Amino acid sequence: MEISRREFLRLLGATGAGVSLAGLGCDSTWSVPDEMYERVVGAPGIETWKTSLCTLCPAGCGIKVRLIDGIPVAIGGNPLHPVNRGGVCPMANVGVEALFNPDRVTEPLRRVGARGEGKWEPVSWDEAIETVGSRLQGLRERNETNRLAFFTNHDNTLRSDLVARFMTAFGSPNLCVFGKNNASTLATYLTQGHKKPLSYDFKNIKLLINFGADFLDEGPSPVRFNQLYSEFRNRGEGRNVKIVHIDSRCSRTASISHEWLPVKPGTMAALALGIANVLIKDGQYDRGFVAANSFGFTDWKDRAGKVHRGFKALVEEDYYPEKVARITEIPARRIVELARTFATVESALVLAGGQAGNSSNGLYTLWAIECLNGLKGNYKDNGNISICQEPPFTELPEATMDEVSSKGLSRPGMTRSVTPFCFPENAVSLLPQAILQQHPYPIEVLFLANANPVFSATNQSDFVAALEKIPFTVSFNSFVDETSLYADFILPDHVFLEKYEVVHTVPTVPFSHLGMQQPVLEPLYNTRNTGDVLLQIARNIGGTVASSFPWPDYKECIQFHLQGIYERGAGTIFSERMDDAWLKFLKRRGWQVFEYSTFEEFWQVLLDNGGWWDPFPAETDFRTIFQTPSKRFEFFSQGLQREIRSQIPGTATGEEIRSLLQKWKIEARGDLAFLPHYESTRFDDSNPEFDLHLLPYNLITNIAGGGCVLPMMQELFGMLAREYWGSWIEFNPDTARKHGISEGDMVKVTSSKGSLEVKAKLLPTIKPGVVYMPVGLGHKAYGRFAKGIGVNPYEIFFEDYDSIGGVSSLTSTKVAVERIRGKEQA
Amino acid sequence: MGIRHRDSSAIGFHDSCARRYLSISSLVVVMLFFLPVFSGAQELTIPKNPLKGRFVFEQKGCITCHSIEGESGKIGPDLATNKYYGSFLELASIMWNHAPDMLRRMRELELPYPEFTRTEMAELIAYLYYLRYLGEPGDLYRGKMLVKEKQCLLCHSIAGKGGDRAPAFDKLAKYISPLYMARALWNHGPEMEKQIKKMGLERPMFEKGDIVDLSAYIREASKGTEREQVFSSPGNPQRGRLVFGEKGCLNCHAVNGDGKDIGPNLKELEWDFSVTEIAGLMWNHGSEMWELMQEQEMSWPRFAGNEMADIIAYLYFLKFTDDPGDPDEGQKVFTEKACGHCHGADARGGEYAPDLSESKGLVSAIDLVQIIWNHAPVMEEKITEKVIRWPEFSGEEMRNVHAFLQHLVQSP
Repeated sequence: MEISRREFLRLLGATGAGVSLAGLGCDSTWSVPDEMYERVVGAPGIETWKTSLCTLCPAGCGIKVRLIDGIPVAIGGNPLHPVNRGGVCPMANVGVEALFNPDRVTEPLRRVGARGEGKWEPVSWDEAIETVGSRLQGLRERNETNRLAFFTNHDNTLRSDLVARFMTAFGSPNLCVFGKNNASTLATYLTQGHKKPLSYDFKNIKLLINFGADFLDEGPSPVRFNQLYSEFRNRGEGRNVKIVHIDSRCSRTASISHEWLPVKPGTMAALALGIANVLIKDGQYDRGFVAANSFGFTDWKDRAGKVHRGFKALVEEDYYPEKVARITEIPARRIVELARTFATVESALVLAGGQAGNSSNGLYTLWAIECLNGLKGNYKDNGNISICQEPPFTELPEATMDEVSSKGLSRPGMTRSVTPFCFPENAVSLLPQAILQQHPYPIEVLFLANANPVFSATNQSDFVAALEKIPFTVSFNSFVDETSLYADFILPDHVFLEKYEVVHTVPTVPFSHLGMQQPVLEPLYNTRNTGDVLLQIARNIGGTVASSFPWPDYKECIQFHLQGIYERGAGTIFSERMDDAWLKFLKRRGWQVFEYSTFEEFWQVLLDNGGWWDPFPAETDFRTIFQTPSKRFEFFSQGLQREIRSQIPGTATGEEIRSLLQKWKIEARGDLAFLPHYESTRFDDSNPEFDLHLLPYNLITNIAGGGCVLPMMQELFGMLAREYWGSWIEFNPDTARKHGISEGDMVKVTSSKGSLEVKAKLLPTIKPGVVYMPVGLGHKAYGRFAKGIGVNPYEIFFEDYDSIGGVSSLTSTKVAVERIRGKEQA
Repeated sequence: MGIRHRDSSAIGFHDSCARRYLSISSLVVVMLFFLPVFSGAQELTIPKNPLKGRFVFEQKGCITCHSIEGESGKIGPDLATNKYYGSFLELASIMWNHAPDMLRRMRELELPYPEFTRTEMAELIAYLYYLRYLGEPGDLYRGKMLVKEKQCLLCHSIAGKGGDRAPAFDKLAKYISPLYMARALWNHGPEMEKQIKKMGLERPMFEKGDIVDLSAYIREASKGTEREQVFSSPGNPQRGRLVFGEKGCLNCHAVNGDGKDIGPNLKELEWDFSVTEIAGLMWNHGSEMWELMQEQEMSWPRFAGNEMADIIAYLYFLKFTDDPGDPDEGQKVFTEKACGHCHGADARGGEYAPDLSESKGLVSAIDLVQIIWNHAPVMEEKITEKVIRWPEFSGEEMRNVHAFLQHLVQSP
């Protein structure tokens, strides 16, 4: 059953109070079990609150759930949680809709129709787990454990660690985490030598230059950044933070910044290097930091005595403001002004995201931007940028492996076999190729948890073909999404209000922290926590796989991890806001804030208050932060040099390196390839009629795709654009005029991949020559609130990848637009 | 060691106050005029978590004016942790005596006057009482000197240097709380005693900040060998009372009428020291105690987990609740402060104030303190109007007046 907006509003208006929907026969919006409805009738209406965590997106905000007679009816923020500090996004606000969504998978299912057809029959948990276990047992008996693959989305949960441990213990190198190693991670790797998330201390900053990161609508934590941006602008006279936003669309983040610079898509690297040029020419960079703690700033000699070009020479020669202005379409005068402001403000920080990293030159772009932080010396001891510190969990012993697992794990991973890129673990979009070619071996069993590439990849049809080829696929999703349609079994997870979980180390947060998720009610249906299911499967397999997971259930697994924090007594459980001075006072004397004599007491306070944090990060030094070959911030990346050489057997010749660069479609040759530089973005130039750049953007109502199961979020999806339950495309009025398009017209958007029909919105806050579409609508599955609503822009995105990292380029698509009919007929 | 600071002027609360004496009658008139309806008195007990009062301290804005060791507000006096402020009523008297000065400053700064519930008042005073227990950070230079002076390295080693007759100090480096070292010392007391005697050495005694300073030096000198950091829970006095019983302390010591008198009555000793100072005192009498225990064929009590912090917190809180005051002395104070002017010479009602014998709320110390505190602004207004002085009380006077009022209420 699908639902229209009209139907939704009628139901909503008819009731007002969610819990009574079932009683009024409104099961099409909220499906409240009969048992629960019976409980409500004549109940005393006792109100209670429970603390937990929202995991509708990876930010893991702390929440307080309001229950009436034990039934969750509303969600607000947990004021004790130091990341979201009592705030929540609209998704979390209506999170109970996920619980009562009528299209949840309520019990284990087995496919009975053709793949993709969506026909299922119920099956018992015992039978489902036994079937899955016997499939895996078969792989072990044949010494082919590497033929198990696991597709999952990157989040910050302990379950991710459990999944990784499962794959290691079982013996498969094919854990494919969508979104984990993105271009930002690789830029950190090139400049700082590690792939850990970075944390930023905004306490003292005075200027923030944001290259394309739409922090207020997207991850890592929109709620935190909404609060931060508000605080930046309201610190008081003389203490406010000036924010400059660089992007080709004036996003919500850009709109509350002090200045928006509409840059030409794909040219941010040139802009960053143009700013660097002014800093270097003026001598206004942190000379002390650069001299003592960086590598490759000036020309340098290798062991053989060969002189290599340094960053300074490159920037001075190639990125003078007038040239950069021609590339970026930002006036040279403005570039110089911005650079001088950046140079003279004592504490200025540069951040990047969005289109900066999602381009065919994404890694070089982010690298160039990060070099601005390098020039500013933002990595000083206890400075603005550091590594996110993990909570002091109990260290798990290595997963035990027998001969079968060791052998399986030693086989090359599927991504490595097909990827033409330097960093194979990022090229998850190329997995279908490997699966279809069965190279270097076939995948026989696939596990799916939260990953939905059939909806969100730019090569969706390849994924469909690959899924059809895999003999046995198991989905652990709570809903039948586009990818799960191709599964043989669905072993449904609880929704977030029904289970235990831990979210920790959210990127950008400058203190070590973890949030606790706990069930606020008994599971409504015959679902199970995927953590418990994996433990059960491991137990059924037996041997070293079972012994790697000694916990009877996932809750005990979580408790085992937390034992380390309890024993050390470091940091503190979230508490009412306390003065930093007091926390420091206690810490200096070796005291922790709370007192508890047993782990059970600690656990209870942890659940009651919602988590743990250490407000004072351990002191870091450059040796900790910079793990590059030079142990310094690398303007010239020896790490990249090493990676490239590792892919060439023996001593790499210049010719071999050139040939590899060519394979990766990198234009630069020689030293330039190992320095941050601007390479023109590859666009789809297959048709001269494709004259507009198509770019995607996300909305806070659908962060990481979680909003599509929440009817209220579908209602609010287009609130700012005043478009409801449908998609739209945004034009600059000049662009629209040139194409004969008016506000509200239906237009056909055509790329080399296909075409979509959507309504036109005219906004002066879009750079001319570029069109934008929001992503998150256009599902072909995922229940009545998602299916058939709007269009999915990913379907027509041109397929290209970042030259080095293999991350999908979402800025390479060019389209033609054509007016189909006017506003009235639309 | 152990110079006590019973004089409330030690923290200077009333140094700048005008030395005005107030007719207590006016105070009580106003106080009783606003007495809330009581649903029952709240008895003062030793707290489970004395740090809870920190939330009250912050939420009620005390932090705006007062700092703890120089951090936070600079308007009022700093509440340094190297001072002991006294029992519940002694602390209450300090708070009471500084009220007029505080009210004046708050008016100047346009700050709201903090009113407390009974629970908040009990938590706040318990927190202030507890500050001394938490101790001071160590002085590593003094610690280094002590290691030499106490000849620790004849048996122990640190960073590879020293003897091997006893465990290396490096193992203690991860423990940020010096109480871990105190616990290790105590638990190994008898073995260490034997070894010391065997080597013909003098038993080390620990005074003042010795243990904290030694611990600070050990952490610093072992730096690099241990990255992990372990913290400790501040002691829970309620649990400490249980541990006290479980460890058999009552077999020798008497407390509040329980236990034997082989060792000293612990209620009669002074406990106004920090946790590690008390641990040092325990260690110092360990030798004597061990001899007595051997005579009695008792085994040495060893502490696990947080037991030592808990038991010391219990001992520290033995002086929190006040000994009963003297009603006769209280009546004298009542008369000397001219309370009878309003309440009548026998406190059973006068021209301006009601009969105190009917005020059930005055039975509990918490209630008494909460009531007078919350109405201080109104009282201040009245006494200013009548040009009379604010009545100041010493802790002793507060106890005796409380006893007199209790007696009055209970014997109508």
